[in-house]
Amino acid sequence: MKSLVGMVASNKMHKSVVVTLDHYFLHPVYNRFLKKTKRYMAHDEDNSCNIGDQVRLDPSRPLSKKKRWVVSEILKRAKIYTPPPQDPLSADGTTAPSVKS
Amino acid sequence: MGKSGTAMARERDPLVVGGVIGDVVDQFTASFPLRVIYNGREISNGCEHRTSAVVSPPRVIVGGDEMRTLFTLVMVDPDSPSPSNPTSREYLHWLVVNIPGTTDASYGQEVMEYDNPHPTAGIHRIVFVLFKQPCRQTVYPPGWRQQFNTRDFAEYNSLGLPIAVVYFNCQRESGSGGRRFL
Repeated sequence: MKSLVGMVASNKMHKSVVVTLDHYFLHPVYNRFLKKTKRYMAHDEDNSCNIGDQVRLDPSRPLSKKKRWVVSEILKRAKIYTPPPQDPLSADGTTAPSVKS
Repeated sequence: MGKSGTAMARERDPLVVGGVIGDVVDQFTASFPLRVIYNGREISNGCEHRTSAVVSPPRVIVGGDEMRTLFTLVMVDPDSPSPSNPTSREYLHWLVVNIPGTTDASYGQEVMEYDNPHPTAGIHRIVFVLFKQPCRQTVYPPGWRQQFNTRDFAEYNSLGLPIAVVYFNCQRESGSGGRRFL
């Protein structure tokens, strides 16, 4: 068994991530390239993976019902958009009035 | 570039993948045939067994070519009480010494009697480690089964590195390997 490189699709679980691997192949009849996606559950000890990260998986012993892989390293971090902090002061320097609905 | 053949072989070694080398024993060269048979089914590295299949002691056949060579067999569980929090690592299930070559474990001297694995949470690795003895030895049983250390035991009794290791995965009867909610 060798290492796999894939993209983190879900990190909602505790110390576990779902990693997807895309595989393109030429359909013998339709002569078109199709995409097949395989999903692997992997162990992430530090809960450090985010959705979109590119990670390397190493095979391991069965850790749970579906976990047979361990995240060995994060190859590329996903670019996560963080909105700029909201300035509490308005343009003229006074505090913006609170609007009650 | 690609990895060398030895590196790839080490990577594919089920003992390395299973974490047995590292958690239980150090890197060694397997130089001896060891067969462990439960109810007529021989175990191989990484195979699955339920608790009902491992109630009685297995038939452990030690290879070799002469009976004068003596061996020590250790059976431990490095995942006790649970793989995510192995506070009792390693749990000693069985300890047999002075096993003559070409025979099985029943011809040896049982220091710790067989305690069948009964994992309560998760999938546990049950590891059989075979050592070659320098001479006939008197081994005193440890005071308790928890916190047994195979490396320290081998060093204390001058056994050196193991000559054969085999392990299997064991989980509770109704378990599917998933999380257990109490």
